Amino acid sequence: MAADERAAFTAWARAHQVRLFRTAYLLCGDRGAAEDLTQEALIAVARRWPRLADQDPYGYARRTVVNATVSRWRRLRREVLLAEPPDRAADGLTDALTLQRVMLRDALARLTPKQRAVLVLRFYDDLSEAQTAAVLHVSLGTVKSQTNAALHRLRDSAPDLADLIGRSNP
Amino acid sequence: MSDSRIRELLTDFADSAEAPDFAERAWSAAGRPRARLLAVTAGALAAAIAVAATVIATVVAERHHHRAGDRSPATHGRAEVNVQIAPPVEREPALPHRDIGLPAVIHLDRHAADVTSYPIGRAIAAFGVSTSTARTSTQVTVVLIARDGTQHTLDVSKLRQARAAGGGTVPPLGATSLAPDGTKLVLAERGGVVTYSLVTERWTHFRVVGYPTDEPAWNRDGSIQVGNGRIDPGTKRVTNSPVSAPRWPSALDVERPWGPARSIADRTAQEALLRSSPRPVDDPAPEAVVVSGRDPAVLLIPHVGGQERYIGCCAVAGWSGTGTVIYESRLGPESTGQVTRLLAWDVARHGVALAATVTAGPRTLITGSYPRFPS
Repeated sequence: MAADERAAFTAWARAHQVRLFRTAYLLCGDRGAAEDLTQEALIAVARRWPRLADQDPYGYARRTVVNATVSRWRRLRREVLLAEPPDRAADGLTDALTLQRVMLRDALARLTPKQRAVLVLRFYDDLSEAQTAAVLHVSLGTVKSQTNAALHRLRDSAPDLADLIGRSNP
Repeated sequence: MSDSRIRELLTDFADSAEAPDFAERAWSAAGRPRARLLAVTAGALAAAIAVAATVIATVVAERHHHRAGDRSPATHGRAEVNVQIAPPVEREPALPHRDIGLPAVIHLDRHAADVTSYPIGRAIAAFGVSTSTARTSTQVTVVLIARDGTQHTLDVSKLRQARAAGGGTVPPLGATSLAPDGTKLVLAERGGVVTYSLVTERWTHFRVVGYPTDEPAWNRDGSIQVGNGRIDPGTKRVTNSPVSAPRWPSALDVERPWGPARSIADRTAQEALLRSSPRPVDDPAPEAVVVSGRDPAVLLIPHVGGQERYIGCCAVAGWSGTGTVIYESRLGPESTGQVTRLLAWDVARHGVALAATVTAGPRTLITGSYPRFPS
């Protein structure tokens, strides 16, 4: 691989890796796993860099992250909804922002993997419903229903969070 | 909780996570020759359908490079499984017409009278259409197509929506709601199912405990199947009656079935995703309409560019006679108005025809349900 390709790739990767890592973090909720997923996606892009450079390498990387996350969920057999999220330490919660993050983390943990993925892609990555359906390999109807279900579940499972940020339209 | 609030919360939460530098490591780890990766990919796709390698190579190649000018789907007959390729989206409007008893064009955004004020006795199709143009709406209006082609609505707003297994609610009308003779509907509601007779205009509620009610279906004897339970409409009793999954052709490696399985005589048709893992992430799993049982066959669905159809685009709607599978071809993008085409796949004669085109204007067609199609 040529030196200029390497330079172009690393420049692109440094410009996008933070966003990609944070998408992975939102999807899986685990920093270590998010690092693995991000690395895996960037390696996949690097392998195809000559072909992807002029196309949409970020879209490709995001799909890799989502697909790998889904595969991880399947491996862990976590397609069923957790009745209760695992207990978590709450030491050092001294400000509302931290409290808000913890509540969101716990609320996200109550979503099914698919609901979580739809929420992240729609509202963090700002994808349209059609784009989300294509990334997740599901139908448009599934994206609609899962979005609705995820928002309902967030509201239901985190009333304190809703109070903290203010209630609004469904 | 508004969309903007959700965005703010997710962004704040994600921004709290610091990311290391992956760039150099990723480039170094990517040194594997690209040619080897391509070989793995080709092998995985070929393994999706375990027939002769030469046949599959052609199938895979044609699936990805199908030429719009081809006059008919490519065909590769073998003793194990008959593999064909569906026409690409852009060719569908020009396909020859096949009459299956439906109007050639159905515009679901037209005014329709309430069916209770204009009894129709029998419907030749039932559609669930979103009640608003809101993209997240799960409320549906049920539109019935009468034998004369007129449209009528059935008010289902008073039904309590059933809950989906994964959370959320499901619309009352499912793909298997309309009875084979078109005279009755079975609809999902919370805690059971409800039937509506287009002949008597009578609603009947059935309480169901212990079985999923989100996708009720009619059995040939007039009973109602709810998961592995069977409702006797006469006694309203629910008994255990497990249903068996289609026995896929042994040559196929099916990753996941989609949509309803439709049976006639000794054949069953259902949409399926075929396994081909590992696969390139920009290439969805091979998708197909699969006929199992006597004379198994596969109709591969091209996803050229990945934009023209959605995964799970092509649910099987039923059979016309014992040799033609009717399936839906759902198209996007949503912004240009959703179009659903009903296509007729003549399995033995290797032809696909256009049976009907359904549009919903600014709304979204959620579900189509059909009675037994005429031969």
